[in-house]
Formats: sequence, structure tokens, C-alpha cells
Amino acid sequence: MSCTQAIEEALMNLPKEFECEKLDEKTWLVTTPFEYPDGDLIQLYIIKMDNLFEVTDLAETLRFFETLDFDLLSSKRRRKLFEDILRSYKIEFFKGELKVKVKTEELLKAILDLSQAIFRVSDLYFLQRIGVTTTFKEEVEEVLKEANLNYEIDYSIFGKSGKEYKVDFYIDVEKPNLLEAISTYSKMYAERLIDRVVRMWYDIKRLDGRFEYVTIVDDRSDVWKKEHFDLLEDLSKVYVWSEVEDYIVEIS
Amino acid sequence: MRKDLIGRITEEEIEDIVVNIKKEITDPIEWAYKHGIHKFKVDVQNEDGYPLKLVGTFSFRSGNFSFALLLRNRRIRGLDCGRKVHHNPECEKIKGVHKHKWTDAYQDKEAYIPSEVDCSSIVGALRAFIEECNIKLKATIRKPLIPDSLDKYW
Repeated sequence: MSCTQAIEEALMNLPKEFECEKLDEKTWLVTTPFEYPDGDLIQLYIIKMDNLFEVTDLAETLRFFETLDFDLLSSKRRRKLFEDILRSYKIEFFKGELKVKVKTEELLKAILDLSQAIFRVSDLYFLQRIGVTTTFKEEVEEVLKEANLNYEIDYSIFGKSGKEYKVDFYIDVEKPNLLEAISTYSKMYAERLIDRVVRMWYDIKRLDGRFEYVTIVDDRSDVWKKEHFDLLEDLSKVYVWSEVEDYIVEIS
Repeated sequence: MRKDLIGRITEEEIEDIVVNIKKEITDPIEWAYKHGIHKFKVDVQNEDGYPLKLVGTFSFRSGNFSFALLLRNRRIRGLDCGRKVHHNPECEKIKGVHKHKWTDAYQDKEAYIPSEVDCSSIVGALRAFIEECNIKLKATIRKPLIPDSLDKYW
């Protein structure tokens, strides 16, 4: 059996979710069903070397971390976990590459082991402190849920100009509420946000008076000016996040 | 700006950062080589004080390269060139060149096929990415220097 036949036989025995592509006479690219945290699929290169095969990621795993400016090896804890994973799968880390050298008969196992090792290594990304990832809209939704209110998210409605708007929440109470939740930590973006919301309320209100219009402002940042509240209050009922209970009491 | 609350920034505000905020790069873009990877990282100055940076990585051996516009540690825009395959949360598979875009629903896991991206030149692709992110480039870009000891596998 030729070397090419031997390797192609090994690749044929991989689960069908693995895809293989021959790049040249001595190199194959295997795309695994395993994903990096960003949804890119883990890929391995099989390189023929004399009597052995090298199965390697060509440093693509480390490159995944570096692209997100995440220094995998800078923390002692992460480095230890990284080394533990490599040890348990007998994987070598050399010049940034995760790799293993094997004989033909060990190729299948090597591909599966390296895929799993990389999958586990890439999960170390979740150990970083990413901070708060809940948006303000999601926080407002939690409050509505806790109050057992019936609501719809991203409610579509047209203004008199013919423009279609997506209001954050439609709340099904006696006089239905349209609620927009606004939050930012940038003074400049606050200006644009107010312009957008004022324009939206004005355009909807002059066509449709069925609703109570409500704006909830995230007051945990100090970007809001008195004039912002004046503008919003002319067109909607305004509540600040720190007093959101007042709004719940009013509509419940 | 309270950096601890960057995580609350919505897709809508991120769109505003990319499209409307004036941004510029004044530091030269120079690649460093470490652990088999070429990488550069530069700050992206902006009038609103968002902690933005541009990162690029390149592997000569795989031929793949990527650029990312990061808001602190979140990739709000990204470009991947090469043979990579992406799996979208809605199950669609993308082979080869793709772009990542931050969404509230999927963070940076959502990718799409860009209409016109030329990945044949790393510097050309980088210039196009910078322009698409509406960043003014006031600095030079160098090509990554390939060490003599590196072999391309294929």
C-alpha cells in the first residue's frame, strides 16, 4: 500500500463530520466538526515526513487567541491548565504549534486526540474576565418578567413619515405601553441616542395616539443632561433605572 | 467612560462607533514574530474615548491571516482570510474568507461572506479593512518579515 493510500484510508475512517482536502503530495487539511469559541472550525494539517506523519494546527490555535488579544500563556493558572490538557493527550507545543508525530496506524487516533485537545484548549478563552455582558434592554426585560407583565420585544410600528420603527417593548396593559430603554457611557452617543428617540416618539405619536409612551433611562452613567430629560418628557413618560420600581407600580 | 461597563454596549452603539465616531491610527503598524505567528496591535484613537484597538495576525505556514477591531476585549468587526471554515449559529457554513460582526444575540460568532475582499495582498486587505471600519490611517504599514528558517508547508 502506498503512503497516499495509507493516509487516505485513515482519513476515510474518520467520522463523516470530518472533511479532508489534499493540498499537495505530502499535505492534507482536515476540517473537524469542533469549533473555536467564535464559531470557526478547528482545522488540522497532516504532513508526511519520511516514515512518520505530523499532525499539527500550524499555530492556528494560538493565532485564534492572539487575534482577540488574549494572552493564553501569561497567567500561571491558564498555563497550567494548558499544559495539563496537552499532557493528557500527549500533544507537543513547539514554536506555537500544537502537534503530534505518529506512524500511519496511529494517524486516526492522533487526529481525534489533537482535535479534542485543541477544543479543550480553546475553551480556556472563557476563563478571562469578560465583565458584564447583559445589555440594558435585557435588564429591563428581566424587570418586566418579574412583574409578570405580557410584553413583546422589538415591536414594529410606523410613524407618520412612513418610516418603520422597532420599539424595544410593547407592554400589554389597559392602555398599551411602548417602552424604549436607553443606555450609554458615551456623552457623544447620548446626544445621538436622544435625537433618535425624540424623533421616533414624535413620528409615531402624531400618527397613533393609542399608546402610553415610556422611556427608561439608564442613570448609572453621568452622560445625561437636563435638556435630554426635557426633550423626552415632552413626548413620553420618563423613568430612570434607579427608580424603575415606580414605573412597575404604575402599570401593574 | 467606565471601562468596567463596556460589556453593556449594544449592537446599535457599536454600529455607531464603527460608522459615525471619528477614529484614527497614528502609531506605525509593525509586525512582531513570536510563537510561529506574526502580530501587530495598535490603539485606535477616537473622540469619545472608547478603548479601541486594531489587531492583526498572520501565519506564514498556514497562509491564514486575520484582522480585528476590538472594543477592549470584544471583537466588534473582524476579517478572516485563508482556508478557514466558519459555522454560524443559524447553522450556515462559510468556507474561506469571512467577516465577523458583533451582534447582541451572538456576540462575534455571527459571520458573513463579504462582497468584495481581496486577500491576495495582506497590506491591501488591511488597508481595505481599516477603511471599512471608517478609521483614518495616519501611519505607515509594514509587511510582515518572514524569518529565513520558516518553511511554508504547501
